[in-house]
Amino acid sequence: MQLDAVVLFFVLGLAAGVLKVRLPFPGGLYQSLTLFLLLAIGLKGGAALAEHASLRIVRESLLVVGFGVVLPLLAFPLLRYVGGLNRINAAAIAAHYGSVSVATYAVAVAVLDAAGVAYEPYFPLFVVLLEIPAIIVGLVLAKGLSVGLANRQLAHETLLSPGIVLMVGGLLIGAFAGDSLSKISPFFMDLFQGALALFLLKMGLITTEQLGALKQDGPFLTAFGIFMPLLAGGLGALLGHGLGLSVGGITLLAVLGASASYIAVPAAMRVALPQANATLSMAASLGITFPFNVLAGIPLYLLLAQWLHS
Amino acid sequence: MPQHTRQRLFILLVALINLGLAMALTANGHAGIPLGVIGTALLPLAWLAGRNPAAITDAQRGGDSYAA
Repeated sequence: MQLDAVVLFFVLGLAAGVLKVRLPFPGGLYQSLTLFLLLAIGLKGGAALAEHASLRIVRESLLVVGFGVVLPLLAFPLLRYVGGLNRINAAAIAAHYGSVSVATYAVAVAVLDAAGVAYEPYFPLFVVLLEIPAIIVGLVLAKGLSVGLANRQLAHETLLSPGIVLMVGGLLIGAFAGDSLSKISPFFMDLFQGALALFLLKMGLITTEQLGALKQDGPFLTAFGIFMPLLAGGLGALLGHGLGLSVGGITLLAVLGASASYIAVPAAMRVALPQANATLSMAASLGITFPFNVLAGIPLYLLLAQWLHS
Repeated sequence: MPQHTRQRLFILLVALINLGLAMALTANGHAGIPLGVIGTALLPLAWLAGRNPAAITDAQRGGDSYAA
C-alpha cells in the first residue's frame, strides 16, 4: 500500500499527538498556512473559471447547491432519532456535515495530482458554493422556517466568514488577473504541496486533541462520523457521474459531499445556535470524519469514480 | 425500540458496511486494510453505546481556531 506524501505528514501529526510529543508548531504559522491554502485554491479555480466559463458550469453549480441542501436533511434524522441528540445539537452537526472541508479537498487534489488523474479545474467554485446552503438548512432545522439570514450578525458570519472571503477573493483575482497571475504562481502554485504537508502535520495534532472528547461519550458520533462520509460520498459520486464529470471530478464531488466543514459552519453556528455543543460537532468532523476521509475515504471515492466511469 | 438499542444497531450496521467494503476491496486487489481496521474497531463500540453524547460538558470550543 502506498500513501501520498502529504497524507503521511498527517499520519506523522497523528502519531506525535498520540505519543504526546510537544511539537513546536506556532499558531501563527498554522493561520498563515490556512490563509495560503485558501487563497491558492481560489486562485487556481479562478484562473480555470476564466478559461472554462459556460452555461454548463451554471447548471452544475445549481445542482451542487441542491446537493448541499439535501445532505443536512439526511444527517438530521439520523442524529435526532438514532443518536438521540436534542434538536439544536442535531441541527448544528447536520449543518457541519452538509458543508465542506477545504483541507480534505486539498488532500484529494494532491492525491489526484500525484496519481495523474485529471479533474475539472473549476472545482474551487463548488467548494465555495457548498459552504453556505447547509448553514441555512441547519438553522431552519433548529428553529423552523421563520429564521434565515435576517439576523445581520449571522448573515455577516455566514457570507463574509474569513474562509469564504479568502476563497472568493482568490477566485476573483484568478479570474480577472489574466497573464499577470504568472507573477505570483511560483509562490502560490509551486509551494502548494509543501504548505499542505505542513498544514496536515498540524491537523494531525489537532485531530488527536478532538478525539479526547469522543472517548467518553461518543460511540454513536464515531459511527456517524464514518457513516456520513460513506453515504454523502456515494451520493456525490453518483451526482458527479450524472453530471458527466471526469473520474477526477466524480472523486472530488464525492470528497466534497463526504467532508464536513471547519470554516464557515462553526463560526456561523456560534452566532446562530450558541446553545449548541460545539465540541460534539468538531470532535465528529475533525476527530473522525477528516482522518477517515484522508486515510480511507479518498482512495475509496477514487475507486468508486473509476468504477462508475468505466 | 430503546434509544441505546437503536444506537447499537446503527454502529453495528456501520461496522458491517466497513467490513464488507474492506472485503470487496481486498477481493479485487485493492487495499482494504484501513476500512477493515475501522470496521473492526467499531464493533466493540456497539456495546459501549447507550449514553447520550449531548451530556458532554466540556468547555465549548470555537471553530475559527481550526479554520480549514
